[in-house]
Amino acid sequence: MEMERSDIVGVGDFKLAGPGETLGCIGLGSCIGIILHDRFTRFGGIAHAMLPFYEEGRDRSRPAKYVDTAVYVLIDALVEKGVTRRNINAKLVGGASMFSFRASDILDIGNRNIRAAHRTIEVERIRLLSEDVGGNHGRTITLDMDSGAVTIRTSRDEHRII
Amino acid sequence: MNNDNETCVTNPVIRKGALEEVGNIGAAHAATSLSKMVGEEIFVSVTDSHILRVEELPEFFGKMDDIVVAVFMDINNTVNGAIMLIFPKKNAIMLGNTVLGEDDDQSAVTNDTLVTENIELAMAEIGNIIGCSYLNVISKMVDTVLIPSPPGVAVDMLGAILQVPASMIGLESELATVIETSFVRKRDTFSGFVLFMPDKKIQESLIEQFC
Repeated sequence: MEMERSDIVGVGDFKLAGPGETLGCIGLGSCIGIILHDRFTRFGGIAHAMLPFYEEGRDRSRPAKYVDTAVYVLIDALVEKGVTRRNINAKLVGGASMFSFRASDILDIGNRNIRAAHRTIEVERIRLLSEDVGGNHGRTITLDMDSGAVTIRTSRDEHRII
Repeated sequence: MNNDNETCVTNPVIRKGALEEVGNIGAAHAATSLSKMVGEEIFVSVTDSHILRVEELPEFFGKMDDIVVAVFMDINNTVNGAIMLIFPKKNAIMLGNTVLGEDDDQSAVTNDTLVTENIELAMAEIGNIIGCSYLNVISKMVDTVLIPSPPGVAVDMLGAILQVPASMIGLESELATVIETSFVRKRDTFSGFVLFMPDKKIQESLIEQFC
């Protein structure tokens, strides 16, 4: 299944889509894919965040580079599309530790991203429906807007749907 | 004087020149060490170099879901940056076989060949040798002791692997430097990339050497 280039969310970016459309991220490693979806309007979005907190770089031109600001801009963009805030559900994929040989703080970026996502989603009162996070392998994902299903393919050639 | 220095340090032509010079000296050292280990001559040469923005890094090398073999070492416990080697899977297996002395039938190696534990160990050793060769050169140039961590190896999607150094550099929003390197033994050529990500201080004092 080849995705159209325009359907792919690159590192530090976010995109929205609507009924009948798909979105995806290729090769999520320590990055985390934050997936927000409303099953009533069938609108949703993905952010491909690289670092836990906006405070760690403050790159104003790319708020989706950081987990916390990525969640904020995704929610706001969906609400702007007419989605009711309390109908938004979240799924999380990624946050792997690619080089698991060391537990140094900086290399633990995958786990820090997961923790930041959990915390921000909780504070924003968004329901976390399911997740596939951690481990030490890369993941490619596709979000189907009609069903809200996220298809995951790993570098170990495993497939699963959450 | 100060002003001239500013322009020199930020001049892209000088930066690229400095990078290639480091690459060439590092490659020569690496070739000597690798040849000693394998017991026959291996040539290492620099074919190109690039300076990239953090965000460009994951998409620079090819297809994001290509499976590659990467060796990662941080420098002085990440204080001074990191160095990483990236090989297409097939090239890594062939280079690993060469080092292990199991290179009778390299034509059977394809992208579907399994990366065995022995290949991973061989790649870790190759990464260690090359990483240390480059860091020795740079240490002398910038007059700072640069000690790499033990090498870590990952076999995974290119995009996923590159996110690790990208997020490290992202912490200080710096540029990454990429040195394309090829290894030649007899008639076989194995190309790979050396990704050198010094912190700002090392990067600047390195380029000042060429101003």
